[in-house]
Amino acid sequence: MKNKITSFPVVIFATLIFSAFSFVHSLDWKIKEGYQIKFSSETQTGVLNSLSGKIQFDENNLPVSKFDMVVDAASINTGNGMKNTHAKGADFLDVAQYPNITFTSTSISKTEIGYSATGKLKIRGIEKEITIPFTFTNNTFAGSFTVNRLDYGVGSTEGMTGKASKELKIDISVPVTK
Amino acid sequence: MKTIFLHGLFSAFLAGLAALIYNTVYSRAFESDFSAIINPFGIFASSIFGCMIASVGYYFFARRIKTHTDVWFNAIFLLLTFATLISVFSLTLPFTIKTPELFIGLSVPMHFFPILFWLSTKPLFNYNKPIRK
Repeated sequence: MKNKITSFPVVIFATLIFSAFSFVHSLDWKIKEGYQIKFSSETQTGVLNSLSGKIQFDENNLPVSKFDMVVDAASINTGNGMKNTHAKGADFLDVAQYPNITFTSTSISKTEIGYSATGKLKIRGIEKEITIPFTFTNNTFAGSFTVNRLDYGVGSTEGMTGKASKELKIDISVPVTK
Repeated sequence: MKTIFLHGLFSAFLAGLAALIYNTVYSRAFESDFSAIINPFGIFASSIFGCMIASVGYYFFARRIKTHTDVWFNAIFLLLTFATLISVFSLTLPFTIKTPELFIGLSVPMHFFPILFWLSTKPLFNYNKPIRK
């Protein structure tokens, strides 16, 4: 009887600890195959084929939700070999020096049509704050936003690179699983 | 005229065959897959198209240019072959193809196969005599 009484707080404590862990764990999502990162403008279109990172998202607990995403800049594919080489080169993304494009959210909030993630987008070593609106339906994150390449030092307004559109529309679709 | 077209067909067949072999070897060597863009039917069709254009072109060219016909025709054929490379370099492939960089190495040599086999098989078809109007 005495044993039962003394072990009772231990059981309660262990239950609390494990439930806390399971709560934290339930925020985590794994990126599934089939994700798409498309960019488009008047002059160029393409995709980025490699995405990794950590997604913590709970629709009912947005303050602790967080995105920490990494895109391999060398995975850019415009559909044309010469354009790919140019895009990866020093004039544009300079993948040799800046291999990753990263996005780390600092806050996620609910909006009328879904959610918006505010955070730091880092391209070519230049970090800027950006807000990305997105939806989460059927275990798929989908968002669309615009980036000005000149803000991140990607290309210039002169020469051949000057002909490329400055504003790029980015469409993201990321299916996830627990 | 019949001999010129036979020459065109023969060189088209050889060019298509060579392109098919090259496509197989290249795809295995670089583990690339361009089957969504290039298939055996397309390879033979484009080879036949290229060599038939050459045949028709030669026929009408020879009627107009009586001296140094082959010299001029071959130079133009070569120039046009080079011109077709613009399409290779400017082509945008579907994004599902992960390595578009390898496409140039595959298709550029193929563009030269029709003229290569046209020139190399020409001695087999003796039609260099003047063509009657």
